[in-house]
Amino acid sequence: MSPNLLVATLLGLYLLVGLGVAGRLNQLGYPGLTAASAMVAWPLLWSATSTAPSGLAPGPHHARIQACLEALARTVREEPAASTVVGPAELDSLRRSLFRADARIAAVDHLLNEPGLSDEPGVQALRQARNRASDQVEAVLAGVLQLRVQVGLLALAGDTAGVRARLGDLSSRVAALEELEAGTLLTNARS
Amino acid sequence: MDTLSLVIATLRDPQRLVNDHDRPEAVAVLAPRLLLITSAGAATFGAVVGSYRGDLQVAFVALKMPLLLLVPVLVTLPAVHAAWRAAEVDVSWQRLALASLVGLSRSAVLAAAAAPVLWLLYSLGIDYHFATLVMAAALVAVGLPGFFTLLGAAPGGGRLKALATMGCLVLLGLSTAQTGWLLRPFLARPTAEVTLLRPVESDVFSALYSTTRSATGYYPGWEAERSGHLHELGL
Amino acid sequence: MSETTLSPHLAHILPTGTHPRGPDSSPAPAFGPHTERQSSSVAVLRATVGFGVAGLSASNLTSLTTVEAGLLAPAGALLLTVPALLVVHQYLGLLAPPRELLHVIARAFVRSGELALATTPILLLFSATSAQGPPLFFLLLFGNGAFTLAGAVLDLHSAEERHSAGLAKRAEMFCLASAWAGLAALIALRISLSNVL
Repeated sequence: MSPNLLVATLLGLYLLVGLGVAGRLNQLGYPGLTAASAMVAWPLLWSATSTAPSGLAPGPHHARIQACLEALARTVREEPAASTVVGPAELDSLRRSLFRADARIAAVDHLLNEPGLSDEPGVQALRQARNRASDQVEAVLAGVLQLRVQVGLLALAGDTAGVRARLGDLSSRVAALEELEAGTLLTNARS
Repeated sequence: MDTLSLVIATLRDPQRLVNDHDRPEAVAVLAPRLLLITSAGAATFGAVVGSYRGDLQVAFVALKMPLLLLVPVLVTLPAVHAAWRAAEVDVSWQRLALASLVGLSRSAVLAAAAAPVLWLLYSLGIDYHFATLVMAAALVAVGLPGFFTLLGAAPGGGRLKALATMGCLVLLGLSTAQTGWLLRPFLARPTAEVTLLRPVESDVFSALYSTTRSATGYYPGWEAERSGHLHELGL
Repeated sequence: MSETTLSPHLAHILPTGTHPRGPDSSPAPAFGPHTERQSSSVAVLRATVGFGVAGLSASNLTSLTTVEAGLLAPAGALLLTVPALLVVHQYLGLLAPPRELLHVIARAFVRSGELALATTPILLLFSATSAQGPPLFFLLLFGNGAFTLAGAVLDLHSAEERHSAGLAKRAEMFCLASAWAGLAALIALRISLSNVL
């Protein structure tokens, strides 16, 4: 194959893949500019092809969740042995669950703040469910802090058992968070 | 975050920008603006470089300079990721991609800031070879902060990380050199015609070798024969 | 989430039946300890393919010299030297289990293959636009090999350290691992040169 033909083929293949990635990002709901950027720099946007934009409104715990997760990510990065137990997939899953739960609480808060809703039946139960959800989020954030402590102990003692146990505990709390589907809380409020 | 705040963030605290947006959807949303900042900064620098020759060369180099920054990064980044993985430094592809974008923006903005200095030197009518050296030195000077931004994305620890990093720097240098050779001319000799691209021939290493030999006064294949009155008089 | 499993405290306030899904309706991925996803044999095969692809991208598709060198040099060097390493290791009475040493070397080979695969874009850039593809390939193969062998020496030493308390044994292991790495590098170089010349 002559050099010019090879260069043209490679460029063509690159643009073709870029087109595919742009299409995929468009399908996932990313802005048009992001999809257009993928035509030129698709390797840098590859990781977004498997994740849709969350479109989640920030809730009352947003800033604290952000700070806690950044601190956890920083702690795991600084202790290489911890990354074999707490990997990027786990951190990403935790992040999604917490922000989803926070967005659900925000949606319910918005509903509860509507004028005239206080007289509606079931509002008290909705408020209690909202508070329970908020407590669950707080419990998970407390668990994140405990996980960081375990990672610190791992750095000193070299034993991953504590980190795995704390991770399992967090998993249970996150599962409890996931039970509170957006639709269920809203369905209760609107019924 | 608006574009101006993004530019300021890339200059003042790029690591914080990387840490705050280390998620796939955040990278996807930031990417177009970071690419725009890179293009604008590099185009400004390129326009000044092209002004050495003037005319259409200004537009040609403004068009090519963003590619000179972007292509080597696209080509080298998989090797950087693999080299750090081999050095037991676990950094995700999305984090590397984001750090590259932020680093590119940083370099491009610094290049745009260096453009007036370059313009001043070029306006004095400096020699072509000196102008080329000045351009190369400026690119290295603004490129290093961008590289350090990429470096800062990786966590501490690992083993032989310094060796892996040096290897990545060498690969980036090689890729940038070859990309520059492919996209030439940038300055364009005063006697050469103004063109967007030259035909692909030889490679940057052969060119550097020839230029070095020319700079030392050795021109192989051209034998100078003395002639003239002074020669006839034995002087 | 299963639509039939709800926690007791929600049951009395939630309607029964199908629950409406939000926009992000895909189930959350499993959240648990991070584990190795590929079996060793698949990883080794992938690494071998990585060497072959790197060699192919350097060749400009006109000759198979770089492909042969890419496949034969690392694999040949390991196949010829690892048995000798294990034999001398046992002869010296060192304590790390041979299986652990093999695991270290396999991991080094896999990392090296991944690194070779990752250099494919650079090799394509040079092979498509100049005649420097093959020289660059051999340069990168050498650099990759040296880097990987250095890491393997450190890992072999760490493996022995986990099983030996004595400084003498650990020093012996470091010397043995270094000698093995040197021999592997020379054999890889010899195989590459015999391929080229």
